[in-house]
Formats: sequence, C-alpha cells, structure tokens
Amino acid sequence: MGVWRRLKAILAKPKTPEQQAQEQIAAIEASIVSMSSAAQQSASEALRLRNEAEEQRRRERTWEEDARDCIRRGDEAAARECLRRAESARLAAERAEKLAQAAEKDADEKMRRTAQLRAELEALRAQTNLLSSSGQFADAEAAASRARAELSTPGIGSLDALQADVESRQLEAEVQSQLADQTLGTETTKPDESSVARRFDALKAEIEGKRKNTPHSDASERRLSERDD
Amino acid sequence: MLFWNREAREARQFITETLDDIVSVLDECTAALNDLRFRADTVLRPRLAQGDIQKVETVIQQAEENLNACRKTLPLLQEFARSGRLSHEGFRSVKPLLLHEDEDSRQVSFDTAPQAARWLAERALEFARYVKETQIPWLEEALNYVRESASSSDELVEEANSARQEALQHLRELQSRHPQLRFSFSEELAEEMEQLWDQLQDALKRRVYSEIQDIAGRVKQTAEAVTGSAEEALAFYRDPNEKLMEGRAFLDRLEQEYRRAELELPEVFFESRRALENAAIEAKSPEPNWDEAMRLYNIASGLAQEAAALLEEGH
Repeated sequence: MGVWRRLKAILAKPKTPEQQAQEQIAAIEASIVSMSSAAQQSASEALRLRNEAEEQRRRERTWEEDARDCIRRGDEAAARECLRRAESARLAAERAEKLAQAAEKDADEKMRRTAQLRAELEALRAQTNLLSSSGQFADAEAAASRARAELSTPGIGSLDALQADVESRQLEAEVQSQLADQTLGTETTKPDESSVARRFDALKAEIEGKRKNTPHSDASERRLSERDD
Repeated sequence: MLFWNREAREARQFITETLDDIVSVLDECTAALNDLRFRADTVLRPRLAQGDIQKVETVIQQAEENLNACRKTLPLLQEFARSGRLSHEGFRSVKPLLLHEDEDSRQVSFDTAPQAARWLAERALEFARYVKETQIPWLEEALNYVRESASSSDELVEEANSARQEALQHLRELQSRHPQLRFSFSEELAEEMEQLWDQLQDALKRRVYSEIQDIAGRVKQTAEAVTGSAEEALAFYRDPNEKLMEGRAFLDRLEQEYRRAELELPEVFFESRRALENAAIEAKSPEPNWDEAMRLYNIASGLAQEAAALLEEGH
C-alpha cells in the first residue's frame, strides 16, 4: 500500500454501520447483476448447442440416406464412408446435446441463485431498515456480513458448489474443444468402426429384406364384364 | 486528426469483432463444402445426369471462389485490427473479388483506410454468409433431390420390371396352354411394352428421373393391360355369348349414364359398340376366325374403357 493511500486510510473517518450496510447491499446487488447476466449467457449457449445438435442430427440423417442409396447401388465402399460420417455426426450431436443439457442446468442453477440472492437482499434491506430504527445495528451488520460472504463467490459460497462449478467448466471446456474439432471436419472425429460395420449390416439387411418383400404388381383385369359390377 | 483517430479506433473495434464471425462462418462453410464435394464427386456421382453434374460443379466452384475471396481478406483485416494499417496493394487485389455482380469497381472508392477496411470486413462477412445461407443449402437440396428422385425411380423401375416379367410369363403360359389361339391384341401390347422398356433403359443411362418415372409407370400399366387383355380374350373364346351380353349391357348402362349426365356420347363409345358387334359377327360365323374375333373383342373392351374414363372426367 502506498504512503498516500495509507495516509488517506488513516485520515478517513470510520464508516458508520449504515454506510457499511449500504456497501454490503451494493455488493449483493452487483452479484445479482452478474449472476443474472451469467444465467442469460448460459441459456443462450444452451440454445446454440441445441441448434448445433439439431444440425448434426440433420447431417447424420443425410449421410445415412446417402449410405442407403450407395447400398442399393452396390457401392459398399462409399456406403461405409457415408456411415462413418453419419457416425461422426451422431457423436457430435450427442456431445452437443450433453453440453446443452449441462448449459441448461447451469442456467437454471444461476437463475435459482439469482432468485435466492434477490430474496436475501430483500430480507437484508428489511432487516436493516427495522434494526436501524430500533438501534440493533450490530446484529444486522453481522447478518449482512454472513450474506456477503456467501454471495461474493461465483457460487453460493460453499466449497462444494465451487468445486461443482469448476468441474462443470472443465467438462464444458473439454466438450467445447471437441465440438470445435468437429466443426473443422468430420475427419477429426474417429467413429467407432464396429458400430459403423453394425449399421452397415443392418442397412443392408433392411434393404435386401425390402427387396424380397416388394409386392408383385397385380395385373388388374379390365374386362367388360367386370366393369359391369 | 481527432476525427480520424476516432474513425480508425471504431473501425478497428468493428473489424476485431467481425473477424471472429468471418472465421467461424468460413470454417463452417469449408467443412460443409468438403462434405458436398465428396457427395457430388463420389457418393452421388452415379446418380447425377450430365446437366446436374455441370450445375452442381458450377455452384461448388462459385462457393469456393467466394470463400477464397473471404480468406484473402483475413490477413489484411488482421493486420488492420493489429496496427491500424491497410496494405494498399492487398486491398487492390482483394477488392475486385468482393464486388457485387452489377457493381462498378470505379464507383467503389474510399477516402480513408478505416473506411476501406470496414468495407472489406462487411463484404467478407456478406460473401461468407451468402455461401452459408444460399449456396450450401441450394447444393444440399439439389443433391438430396437427385438422390430421392433416383431412389424412388429405382423402386418404380423394379416394380415395372417385375410387372413386365410377370405379364410376359403369363402370356407365354396362355400361348402354350392354348396353341390353337393367337392373342394378337395382347402380343401387340407386349411389343409396345418392350419398346417402352428400351426407352426406359435409355432414360436410365441419361439419368433423367422424371422421364424414367413416367416410362416406368407406362410399362407397368401396359403390363397390366397385356395380362388383362389375354385373360379377357380367353374368356370370350370360352363363352362368347355370355361375354357379348355382358359387353352390350355395359355399353347400354354407359349410354344411360352419359344421358343422365347430359353429355354427348363420344366417338370411342360408338367405335366400341361397332367393334363389339363385329366381334359377335365373327364369333357367330360358321367358321369363326377366333384370332380376329378375340382381337375385336379386346378392341371393344379397350374403347369402352376409354369411354367410361371420359365420362368420369366429365366429357
């Protein structure tokens, strides 16, 4: 701390309990603003991820239809490549869906915390008003300090919540990085070859089964006598 | 000077923000175009007609040119965002690539570097978005449409071929069971069906799916007519009186229906009646020519069917 700052601190008058309470209220209000903004960010991120998942599902369907067409034409190599891409899109969609769920959960949690902060702030204001008029300001100040201690961390203040936040962010970063790879091309995601092979066999069986079951055309007999009926 | 500083600062701020968008859209479009190129060149190549290949190729090339133009602006914009400087040479080389089709290059000029840099960023984003929102969806839709048309054509061709084989087989069986008879009407229809089948093969080679579907439908209908007419001719041979009576009754009722609908009887109706009576004359002659009688009966039946269809259509 600099000399001037120290001097300023020495010369400054001690804060009144009212001033301290107002500062605490201001701090909680600031926390509410930042928490609410973070909730909105999470919600819009969740929406973006839902759209991304939908887009990946659409790509999966397109590749699968392409694979079906290749199998019908007997081009198995191209069909397998299409299924590989379909599998990559499926994995990307699943990841985006998981991430969207996490973001939605995070948004809900932040909304809940915002509501909780608002309620506590209201309670604190009411208590401050009441106690300042009845002279019991020391108790109010202690309550405000407790509230501030709880609310000044990004989480509610407990270590568990903080840890959960850290883990959620790590997961988010991990999936984001995977998604970033995904947008650069499906080649970066290695689909599971055995599931590609299973899907290929299933599609082939489905198409061959459909061919066998194609109903023979019933030659409609158009006779003068039948038209009479 | 102050104004210039503010303009430059704002332009740098704008470009810094826009760069992220451009890069993100570029990455997305690059991946999508790679997929589309693979689909057009490998997966769906055997499905595309020559005209389709050219159209798809043209749009892919245009999209790639647009993306390349955007890529070329990136280093210029990055440098401007970093230092506030815009390379004159760089701008001159990129500017023509980012003009609209109807835009005159001479009319696109700027007094200051921030203005020019801002224009570059706006155009790069606009071109990248055009690829993303217009060209890529068009290509996807076109390729999906071709695949779906080809796929449904395959099914129709399979059905047509199956109906054709069945009709030919049925006709052969009737011919072998009744060697004394000739099913000339059905045989002519079978020939017509085979000609249609040849046309279908030609359309398949050209991969014109609307034509394929149309011809396949006609092959199927003709196959049904081959089988139906052969059965009908045989039934007439077995019991001509019964069939003549049924035919006349049908035509009488058809005539009543026309009168009730206050419609004029069409020429095919009278032709049908004449053919039916000629079939009766031939069948009742002392030495009937059954080939001719059966053919006339088939003709009468076909014409009556046409007349009934006309009534349904309200003619």
